[in-house]
Amino acid sequence: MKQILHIFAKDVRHFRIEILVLLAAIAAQICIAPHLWPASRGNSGFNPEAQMTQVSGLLAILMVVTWGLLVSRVVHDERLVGDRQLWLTRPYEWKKLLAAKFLFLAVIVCLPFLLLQCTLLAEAGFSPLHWTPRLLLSLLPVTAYIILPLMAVAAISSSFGRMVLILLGVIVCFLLFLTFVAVWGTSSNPNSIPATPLQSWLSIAFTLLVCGEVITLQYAKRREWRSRLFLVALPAGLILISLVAPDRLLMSRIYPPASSANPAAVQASIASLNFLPGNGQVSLSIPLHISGIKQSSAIVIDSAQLTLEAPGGARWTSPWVSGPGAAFLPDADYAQVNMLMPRSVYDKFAPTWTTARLKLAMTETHIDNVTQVALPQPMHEFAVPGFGICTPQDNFSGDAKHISCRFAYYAPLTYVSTHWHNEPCSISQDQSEPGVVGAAWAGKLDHSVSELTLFPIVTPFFQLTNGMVVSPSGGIWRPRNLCPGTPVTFTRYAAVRRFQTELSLQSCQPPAAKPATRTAPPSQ
Amino acid sequence: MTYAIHTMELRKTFGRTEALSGVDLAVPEGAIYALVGSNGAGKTTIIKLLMNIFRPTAGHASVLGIDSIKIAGKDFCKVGYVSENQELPDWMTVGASLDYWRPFYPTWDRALEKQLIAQFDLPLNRKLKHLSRGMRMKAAFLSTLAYRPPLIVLDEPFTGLDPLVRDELIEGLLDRAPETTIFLSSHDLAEIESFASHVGYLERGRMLFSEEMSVLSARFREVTVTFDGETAPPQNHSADWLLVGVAGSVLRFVHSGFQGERTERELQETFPSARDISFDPMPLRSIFLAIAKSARGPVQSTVEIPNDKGKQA
Repeated sequence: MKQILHIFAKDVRHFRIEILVLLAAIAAQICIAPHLWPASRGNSGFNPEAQMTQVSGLLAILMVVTWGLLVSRVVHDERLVGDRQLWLTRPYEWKKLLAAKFLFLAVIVCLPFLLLQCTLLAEAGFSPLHWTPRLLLSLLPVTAYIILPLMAVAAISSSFGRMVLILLGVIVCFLLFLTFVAVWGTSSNPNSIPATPLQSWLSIAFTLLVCGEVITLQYAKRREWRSRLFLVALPAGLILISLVAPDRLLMSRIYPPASSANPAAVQASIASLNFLPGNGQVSLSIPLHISGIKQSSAIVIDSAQLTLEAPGGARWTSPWVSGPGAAFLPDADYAQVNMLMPRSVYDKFAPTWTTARLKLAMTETHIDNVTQVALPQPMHEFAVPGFGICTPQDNFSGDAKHISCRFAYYAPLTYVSTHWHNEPCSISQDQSEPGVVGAAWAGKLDHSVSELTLFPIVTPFFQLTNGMVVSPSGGIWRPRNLCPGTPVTFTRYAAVRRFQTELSLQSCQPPAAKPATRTAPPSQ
Repeated sequence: MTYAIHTMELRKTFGRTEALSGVDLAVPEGAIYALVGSNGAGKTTIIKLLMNIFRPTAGHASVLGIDSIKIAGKDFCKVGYVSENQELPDWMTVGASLDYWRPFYPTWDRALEKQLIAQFDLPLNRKLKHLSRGMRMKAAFLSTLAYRPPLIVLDEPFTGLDPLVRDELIEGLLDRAPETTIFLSSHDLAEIESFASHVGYLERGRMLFSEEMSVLSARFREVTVTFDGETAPPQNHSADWLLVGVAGSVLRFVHSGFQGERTERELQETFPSARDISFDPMPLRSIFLAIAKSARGPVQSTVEIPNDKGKQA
């Protein structure tokens, strides 16, 4: 332990300037970040958001770059590549040296990062104590995706310059891969497929394993070439995981097909199949009729997969693509799924009459919690238990026009509803007419702690429906108002079960003409 | 006899280049062993193999009884290593570097440290990167000698140093000699001749010889055989004769197996008509030149050497 602390103290002394830069960037971030939360911004007439966002972004980049610099410098101070280093023939024990480096990263990189998160949580009105487990878990993706890969690259390079070159090489290879995939087609385009939690966990575990192996191997035995081979395997493995995620292989296990034992919680049918051919790709939009959603439930379409079959034997199956991103309540009757298909594949079908089959992977959710809060005066915050901290925003006109909220780490899937006032709040509204309903979905159902998060406060934007009204004086749209005292209902939903359903459209004809849209008649 | 350093059939290749080809080496405890050889002979490679900086391709080496591929961590409390191109922590001052190294060594001698600081006249508050080459080497020596290691390994320690600094370092080193084994490499024969007790000669990755300095000096003689008339180079001479040459009536060669009166007698029997046979001791430099010239290329064991007037005999 003595040797560990001795090396640690030396490193802190040596890199005090870099440490100060990092701490200054974090302190500046603590000062600036709260100004970016819409719920806490005053109506002073000055909107600093654009400038502040830029500064905050630059500070975040500075923080990550300083992490990289610190990781590089602390590893290269006892460099593992080369044969002229003094330390190689001094009584260093590799385990203690490695422990000293980890201690440095824990104290100088991770601890200030945790403090940043705690301070921002407290500033935003959330108790850091309540969020302690999530705080600690936020270190996992930062360590797996930033700190350890940087340390592994530093362990196989001799200087910061060489380390940057290696990282640039990796980035170029990754961009080339993405370009290749884009040219090749959408059938395996990772961008079109949402990352699944299992996929994220697998990526983290794989990164931790490979980087840990490289770092240990280098410190214990300094086997440069073997370590480099391991590191080459890292991006290759991550790409493989992104392409062949077990989630997707096991889609039917995660979303079992609807049956009498596991009935579909919604009736759906394909309204039409619309094609918009472009140069390299064709945009598909698939409007759906939906019905039969039970009271107190909501349905989320997580993913969709389309199969087209032509009489001549042509067949195409899309990858699983993300759903519309909204939840559907019992009164919903319409939904739409969008996806892309390669133009080369499209040309095999157009203008043949084709059969379409659409698989929908869905989650049934039930109401988990309902909270009703009376709106305070504009720009006055109010806490919604289990949801977040919200503020009626007034757009400098005196009356609130929308509600903005901030959350710790993620926004749970919540339906927000209230009633609008058509007139300014100073004019009393007829109590028998509660006003037009304004509603919106906020947040999302699934949130994986394996996602990389630098800052703990999220401020997703949601817009209440029916926010504008036509002025009776003639044709001009004007905003409705959210008046103090109006009740706002926050209905939080939780997942109950997942299921898969298959819809078909017996005949549709992709248009042959180039940029045309054609709608096939609905059939069921 | 116990050896501080012992290698057997030590081999090292870098790609297709063979840097060492089966080197056998034994450094007795208490010796001051000088490993000499020209640039690229493999001296640094041997030392880096001994220090476990490189791993041998084949063969075996032990340092203070420890297998060289296992030497690590606390083992380096017993070994001091200084190299001409070693990377020092340049951002530290001399004093800070001593403060940093001290806790690593249980045997660190503060009194000796102070004595060496004074002896080497080192400025404690100056950063290592601001020191001259000689001063940096002194600082490296100081941080090695201060913990009194039983074995000191030096790789070309005096290269490029002025004579004054070199003498100071040698003096500092020799003060420790009674309690330690010193193994150093050099391509400058003159600098090690005065204090080395043992010497090994490495040529193109092969150890040509390795023995005590006194034995080496004793077995090499420059032999001059003078005849009354012109003579011809002898045929089928002993393998111990190196650089055999004739100039008129004079036959000269280097005898590498001189054994005193016995050799004198043998040569008198070999050259009964010789007017005079003289045996001159050779300086180390001449011995190495003779060996090096004999070992290089196709060995020309018999050469014509110009006579005093510069004519070809």
